[in-house]
Amino acid sequence: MVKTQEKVLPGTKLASIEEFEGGQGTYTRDDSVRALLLGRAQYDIKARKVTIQPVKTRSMIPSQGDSVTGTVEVAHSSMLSLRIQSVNGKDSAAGFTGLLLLGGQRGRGKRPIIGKYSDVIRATVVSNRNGIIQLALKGKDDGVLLAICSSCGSKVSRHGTRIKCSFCGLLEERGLSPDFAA
Amino acid sequence: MTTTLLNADKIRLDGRKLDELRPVKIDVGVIKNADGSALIEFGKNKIIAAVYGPKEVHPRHLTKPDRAIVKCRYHMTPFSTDTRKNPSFSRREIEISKVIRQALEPAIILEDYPRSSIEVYMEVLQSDGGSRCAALSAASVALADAGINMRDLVAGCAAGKIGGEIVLDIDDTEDKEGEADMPTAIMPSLGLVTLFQLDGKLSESEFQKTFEFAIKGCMKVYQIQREALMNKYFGQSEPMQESTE
Amino acid sequence: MSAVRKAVVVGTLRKSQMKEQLEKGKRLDGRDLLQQRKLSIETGVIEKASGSARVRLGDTEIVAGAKVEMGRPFPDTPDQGLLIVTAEVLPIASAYAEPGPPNEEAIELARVSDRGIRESEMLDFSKLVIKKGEHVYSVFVDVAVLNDDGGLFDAASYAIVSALSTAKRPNATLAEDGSLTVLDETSDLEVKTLPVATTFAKIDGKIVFDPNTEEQSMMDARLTLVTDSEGKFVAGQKGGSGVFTFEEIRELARTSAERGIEIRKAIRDTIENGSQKT
Repeated sequence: MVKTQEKVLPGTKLASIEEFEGGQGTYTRDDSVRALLLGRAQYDIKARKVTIQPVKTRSMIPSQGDSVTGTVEVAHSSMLSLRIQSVNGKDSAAGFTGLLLLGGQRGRGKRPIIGKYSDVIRATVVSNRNGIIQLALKGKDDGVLLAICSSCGSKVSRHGTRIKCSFCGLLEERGLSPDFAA
Repeated sequence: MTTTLLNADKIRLDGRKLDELRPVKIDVGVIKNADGSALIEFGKNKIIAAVYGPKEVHPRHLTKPDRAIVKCRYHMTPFSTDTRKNPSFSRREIEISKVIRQALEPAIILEDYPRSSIEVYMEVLQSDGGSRCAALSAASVALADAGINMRDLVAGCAAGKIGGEIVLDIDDTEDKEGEADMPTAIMPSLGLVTLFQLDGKLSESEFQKTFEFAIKGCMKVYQIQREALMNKYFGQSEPMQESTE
Repeated sequence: MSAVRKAVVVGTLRKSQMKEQLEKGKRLDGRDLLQQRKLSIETGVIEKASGSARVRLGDTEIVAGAKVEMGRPFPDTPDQGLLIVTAEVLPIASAYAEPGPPNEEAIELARVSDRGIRESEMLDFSKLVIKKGEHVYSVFVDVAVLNDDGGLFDAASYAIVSALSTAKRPNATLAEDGSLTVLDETSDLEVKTLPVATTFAKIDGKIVFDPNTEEQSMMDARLTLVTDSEGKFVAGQKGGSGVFTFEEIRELARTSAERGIEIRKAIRDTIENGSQKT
């Protein structure tokens, strides 16, 4: 049975540690379980656990499972570094960097080129351990959304699984998203 | 000189009693772009606090692998004072920014946001005495509004001595003409002091009494912070409930 | 990041050793919790200054120099002399001190030092006026940290008080036409009280007096209280990203007042005899 009630502020005492265990949105100090956030305290009488339903849910630091979109700032053959600009479809000005690792096929011929400098890529957060945001192209819509010709900087269009420059005609490899904007 | 600050009935120039706070009003969420914000009107003080973050740290070498860093800026706009204030950052503002940062840090769960920064900006649009306490009280509300994990709110209020009496909440004139000023901030639910400054002259017993007043003032400010946040998120009608123990 | 924190990357080992010692009522350097490091004060170390003092507090070394010059009053205080306090942690003071404009730590040091002098009314600024609104004495106090091993607020306060207590001001005469002549002869800069700072650090729930750099790097919070000759509190400053309980603040006020008496005695002896070691 869950009893939802009590509007709480950070610091509000929710229970003593003998009464309830602190869950999501709480912390324990001395013998008290207290709220970390503004929200509603939910007491699970059966599990003897109290959690906070925050009033403001917003994507702060991208976390596992989030879909992010970012611009490639550094491109290595094994890794792309993305400046994250949106999280789950919402703009993010926090400017976090995510790492998209391209490994897995070392020494087995040529690694496919996923993205290049300045490409806009959609990816999925697979981990943010130690504050390092690791990305992968796991979602079905993940991949390059926007690119320009890496030789002359002109517009490109989809050409099968590749892209073709409208000006110099260069054909390039990319890991395109189904949503690639031609 | 100081006798003019109090009349024969120990009423202050602006009509307040010794232990009376100036009118305080807090509005939550006043800056649209910010992750959290608050406007505080504390006597004639008008101060906006805005929080951005957690966000990536710049410059990057300031990054801490296990926790967030807090950047704090207390700044007075040129038109905030009687005579125009030079817009550049003064030594006073640098010191106040530092003590406010160190007053807010104990309340923030920094470990929950490794490798990121939490930025707190306080812009004094109009200044009156006690602007640092007002600014930090607004900043703490802005942090809660931003949904940042916190141990407690931080509530600030100064007490001091004017005309030989210990009083709560010193305004501009009282600060200039008075004998002592003790800006204090506490985490009200936890009963811990996060900011403490003193200038003026107090005997030991006066020190203890002023400190007592300052804590009482902080608790009053806390009630206003609490109401402001509750009204914003739960609406005015619902009464506040205390924890059932 | 604070210079202090950068200065010592304290290993977990040192911290746990410190905890162990604190449990026994001792510190890593062998001191008792409320024991100050060896303090020595020397005055008149800079001949070109109007007054000067060198303070050694353990390995911390600070020189304060006072210059008393003729100046113009601020428009809002035409009948008051001026006081300007600056502080600088010189690049020679530690591996982590850097050249350049004062950082927030140095600014805090200067401002807290300033408050101690100003609020204690150590100098009677109304007496530092030659002609109201025209000519007043400007008292400049510049603090230079030569070696930083913590306790800068305290060491600076002892240096400043010693420098000002032994400072001379130039005599001047005012002619009929309002022109000012500065004479070769000097008078004492009269000092009315001796404000001294005492700094306490809270480490692992214990309070220690006069923390050194290593202790500052471990501390949760710091409290500096300044008392004058009558034992009145004239300035205070909490530092560090930790907290104090209400009772700790109350208790520290009592301790600070007590410790101030001993320190003031050492300073008074120095002023009278020229140098002093405790």
